[in-house]
Amino acid sequence: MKRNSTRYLTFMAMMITLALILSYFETLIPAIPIPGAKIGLPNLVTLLVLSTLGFWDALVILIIRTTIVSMLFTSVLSLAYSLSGGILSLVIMFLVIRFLKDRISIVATSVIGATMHSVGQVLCAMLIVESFSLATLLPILILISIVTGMIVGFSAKFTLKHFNLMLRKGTT
Amino acid sequence: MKKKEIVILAIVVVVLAAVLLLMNVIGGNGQRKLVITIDGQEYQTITLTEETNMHFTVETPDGVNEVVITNGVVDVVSADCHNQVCVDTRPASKVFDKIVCLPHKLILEIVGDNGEVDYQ
Repeated sequence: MKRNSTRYLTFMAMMITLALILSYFETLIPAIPIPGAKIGLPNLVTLLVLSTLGFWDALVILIIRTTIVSMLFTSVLSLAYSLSGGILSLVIMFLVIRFLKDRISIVATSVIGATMHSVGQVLCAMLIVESFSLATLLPILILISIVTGMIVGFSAKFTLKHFNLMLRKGTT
Repeated sequence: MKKKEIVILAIVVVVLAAVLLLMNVIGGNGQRKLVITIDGQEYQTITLTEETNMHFTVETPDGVNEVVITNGVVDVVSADCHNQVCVDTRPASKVFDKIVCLPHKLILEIVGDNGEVDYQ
């Protein structure tokens, strides 16, 4: 898909909207009683775009999505957490897909991404609160990430078939 | 998912579970203290026993958190932050348990009294 085509713009706008809806949907689900733990449904969009279009497209969607979400639902400070987690997660997922292309499934990629999201968030929180004690949250957070990463990963796996079909149709 | 991935994942889960179990065992015995930290600075330390019952508010530069201690179990019951994560966090009672309010840069954590969980 050409980057300056109307089709591309529409597609990106649609993906950002989808990510926003998923973010909102996630706030309706009761919170997991561990600080910082979320299912991470919007990562589904990041993962899909990363594996179909590419790194830069996923990055654009990630940045726009987190900015809008922090303006709508939360505060500017939480933008720092979401962005640090999101970007670390995206970069690692990109590297994993790039170097292990056929040897790794999308579910495993998603699990790695979810884990890195937690790690990035905790690192950012440690910087802001200036305390290493938050590191003891990591084991439980990573454990939760593995479960949520699998949920997102399987969703991505089933969506991807239709997603590819949608992308191919009418592409020039 | 491929077989190899499931095996690796299972190993990681087992290791993490072991770490959590170990943390639980270490934190299980001995004296406990509640350490309240705001923006990296220690604000207050309270020794916890089975009979500790308190109700107080912590005032941070960014907002207020209302803390209740019932029989040595610490819980944040209300806060004027936007995300309410600290209120949703389950009550803390064991060493390594912590309640964090990131918008207020506030950490409530349980540490052992012999200073083995000293990070500074």
